[in-house]
Amino acid sequence: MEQNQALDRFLAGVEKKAFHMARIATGNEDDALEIVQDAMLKLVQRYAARDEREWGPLFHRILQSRIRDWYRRSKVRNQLRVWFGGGEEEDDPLDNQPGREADGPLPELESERFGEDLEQALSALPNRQQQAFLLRVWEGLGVEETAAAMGCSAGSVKTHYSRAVHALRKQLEDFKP
Amino acid sequence: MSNGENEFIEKARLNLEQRLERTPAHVSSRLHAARRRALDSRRRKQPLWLPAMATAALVAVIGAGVWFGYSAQQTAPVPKLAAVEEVPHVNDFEMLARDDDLELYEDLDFYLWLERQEPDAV
Repeated sequence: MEQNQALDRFLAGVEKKAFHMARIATGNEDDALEIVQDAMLKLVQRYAARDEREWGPLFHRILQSRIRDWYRRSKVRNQLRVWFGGGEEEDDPLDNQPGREADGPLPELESERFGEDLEQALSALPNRQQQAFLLRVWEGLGVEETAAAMGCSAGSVKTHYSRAVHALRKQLEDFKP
Repeated sequence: MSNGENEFIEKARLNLEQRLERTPAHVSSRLHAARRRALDSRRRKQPLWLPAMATAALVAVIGAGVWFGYSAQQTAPVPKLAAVEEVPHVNDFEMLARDDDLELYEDLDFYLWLERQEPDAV
């Protein structure tokens, strides 16, 4: 009973961030919700008995694994679409970026616009760079923890993270402080 | 890491945090429902052990009963044969099958007559 309450608290604390990470990765609200639900189910059914301190890394590992699965399925779907007549590549999200107004925007508008542009730039990153950036910056995981969540080496995390920061700063250079 | 990079990262982090607060109500509601489903799946999963064990034990007992019952049936003497042994005419048949007594049975009437005539002769 106590463990169920602890699990409830843990999941309530991570679910929104997990949803936004999945939505940035997939660009689709329903897919993101499905990914988060799968991750919750797997954590509860397989790892609930583990020490509470392990839930965080395990949950992120499951979540990132589900996001990678989504990418693989999506890649196959896109390939099939190209083979069987769909033909056209999906638009680059950055192409749809709204143009800058000549006048300087108000601070709150600037923040909002920065948020939109950040999301578009994050969505356009390769999956591994996106994961490394979000886990390090937003989730606040260390290099080793991020490597465990992503299922790769610490060296790879550093490389992906560095490339992500470089690409994002380049994309968002209008907002340079 | 340069100052500019640090500032950019901090700005990005703050913006992402603000995003959490702006999570739409319908998404929060669906996340809540997903959490409940996940937790309920554990509650449902736990008690399944007992019925599963009880069913397995019952099947084992029934299986053992059927097996031993069948074995006992295979090794037990057939009651019908025992009954056949008790039938009088089978004993007669066995007597007749013995060659040495056959002559006695053929002359049985004679010996019975002889006994009646001379009670002390037999």
